[in-house]
Amino acid sequence: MEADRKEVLVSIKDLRKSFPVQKGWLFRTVGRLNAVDGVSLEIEKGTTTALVGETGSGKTTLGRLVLRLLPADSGQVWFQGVEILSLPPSRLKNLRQDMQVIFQDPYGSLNPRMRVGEIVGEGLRIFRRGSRAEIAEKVKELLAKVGLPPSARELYPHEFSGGQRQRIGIARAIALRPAFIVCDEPVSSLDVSIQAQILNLLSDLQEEMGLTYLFIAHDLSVVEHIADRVAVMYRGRVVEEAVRDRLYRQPLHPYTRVLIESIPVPDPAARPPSSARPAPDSEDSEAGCSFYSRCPIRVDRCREEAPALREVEGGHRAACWEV
Amino acid sequence: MENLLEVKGLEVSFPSPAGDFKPVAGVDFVLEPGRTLGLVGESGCGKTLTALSILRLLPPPGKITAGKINLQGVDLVTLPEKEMVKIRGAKVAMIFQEPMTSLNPVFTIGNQVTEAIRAHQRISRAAARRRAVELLRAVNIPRAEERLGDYPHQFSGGMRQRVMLAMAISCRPLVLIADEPTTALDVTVQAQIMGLLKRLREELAMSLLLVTHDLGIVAQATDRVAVMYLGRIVETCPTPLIFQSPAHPYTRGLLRSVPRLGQRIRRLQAIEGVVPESSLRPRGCSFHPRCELADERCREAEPVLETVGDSHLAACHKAPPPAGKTDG
Repeated sequence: MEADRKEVLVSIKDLRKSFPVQKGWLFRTVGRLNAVDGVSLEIEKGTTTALVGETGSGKTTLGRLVLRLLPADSGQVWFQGVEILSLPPSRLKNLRQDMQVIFQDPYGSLNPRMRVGEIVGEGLRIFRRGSRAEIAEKVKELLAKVGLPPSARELYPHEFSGGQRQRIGIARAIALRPAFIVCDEPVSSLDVSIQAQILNLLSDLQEEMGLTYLFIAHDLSVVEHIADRVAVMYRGRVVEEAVRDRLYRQPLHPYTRVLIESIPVPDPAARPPSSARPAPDSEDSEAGCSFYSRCPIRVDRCREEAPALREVEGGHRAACWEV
Repeated sequence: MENLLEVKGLEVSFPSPAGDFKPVAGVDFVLEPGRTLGLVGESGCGKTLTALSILRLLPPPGKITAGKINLQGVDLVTLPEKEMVKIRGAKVAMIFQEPMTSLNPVFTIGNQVTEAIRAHQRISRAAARRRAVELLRAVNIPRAEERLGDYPHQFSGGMRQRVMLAMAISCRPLVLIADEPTTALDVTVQAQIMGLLKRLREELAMSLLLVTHDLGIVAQATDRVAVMYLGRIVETCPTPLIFQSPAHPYTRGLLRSVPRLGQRIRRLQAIEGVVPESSLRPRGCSFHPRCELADERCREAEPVLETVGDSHLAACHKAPPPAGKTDG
């Protein structure tokens, strides 16, 4: 391990989760889908680690496993020196104060029948952080922190726009002063002008409260603005992981390169986005690399043997035979 | 150049007990043959309703209450529904953001594509089927013949959007309207669909009206761009100009708030405030509450689209006047 590395807050070890694949009208189980297939990752205190990938890459599932919102099949998650997947449920409640989540959908993640004051103050009430009056005062402070007026307490979620709802979700997440927040696509349903406001708010709160984020996103240009480290997922596995600048300047894995090259650049002089191999043009083999069918630089070995994630240089890890 | 499609003073109203509200309040643009126009704006700015108006597919109780939509000199606004049926799908076709909900889940792909063909062309079932295979091949669907018997749920999001495209081009339309065609798709699939759209537009010599919120897509795929805010076009110009010399403060704000790859800055510059509901349109310039340049005049008088440069128009009192020259 490098000497200048900070303290590790969350350590994920060989985490796995599979879901049954069902078919037909009897929903017979015909196989299993490995949503998270042996992921190991370390998240340093006070930093943002981004988890990037396309639909179905397993990034959201991984976020939920880490929070124990979903039971894992195997593996470990260490948080502040405690292995949380084996904790008895009775000790889980206290842990919830330190780990929070911000969801993608600011419409579905706020109870429409609760007032904003109740939503933001619910955690404070459950953990008895003060009298009614003290909690009300605290809620006002929290709303101010995320840029909402005190009058918001009396309103219902439907009275707010998408960006404002996301602010409510953030106020709820920071209410108990957690150490760690999983941000699951927090800006992907927002307009760009609002997106920038929310990203700036998340950065400010991180600085002020020393928060650690696991930032799940599909948009690499958003991630570049917020992440310290980036892990790229493909079909349940981390295929590349590095500090931000290395990953964007010298991407090693062909999938990362395809992802970066596919982004349309807001500059008419820039090269048009490349479209790599259209769809999978060959069968995937169980044993080989999961990117084989779409890979532009594949060799025979890739079909027979899956490459493991290994350190290439200076904390830059990649899972590819050809790097 | 002759205009293929010309929209003038388009207004869309929805009646409500509190008075009519106008999500589209006076939109003008032209689409030239073989060109791509990007219609850009954030949620609720009226870009989708503008697109739907062209096909006269507004969701009720929405109505076009003013303006003209000229397609090759024929005004679509006043056209009887019987005539409109012959335009829809044949001369003007549209694809939507959600390829999941635009296809009927209980019919096969073959069924739906041949239906689109036979709606406008008098050909036999067998001929329509052959044509459907050709179309699916044209949009790069592998094993097209076998896949005709498959249902929409057996296709991925990107493949469904290809099917929608195949149906849209089946009658060789003059104008293709694509409403956020790649927003629901992954970025690698988006690159493929945009490449396909470009190729088809060239091969079929169509004009494309591309509705999007993504300035990256605008830069890569359009010739001209119109920026909408609260139901009006606030700026329009050839695409390169919007990136080089945006004239409207809203456009500048949008450009600044886009995170760009490889140009990381410590803080993104957000546009302050939020988009007001279109029923609560501010007096004067509708952008003034969020505008850093706003003064007394902006709060009182509404700016109109005026020339600020070579085929570059902006609706802003503070926009720089055309540099030196009077007319091109």
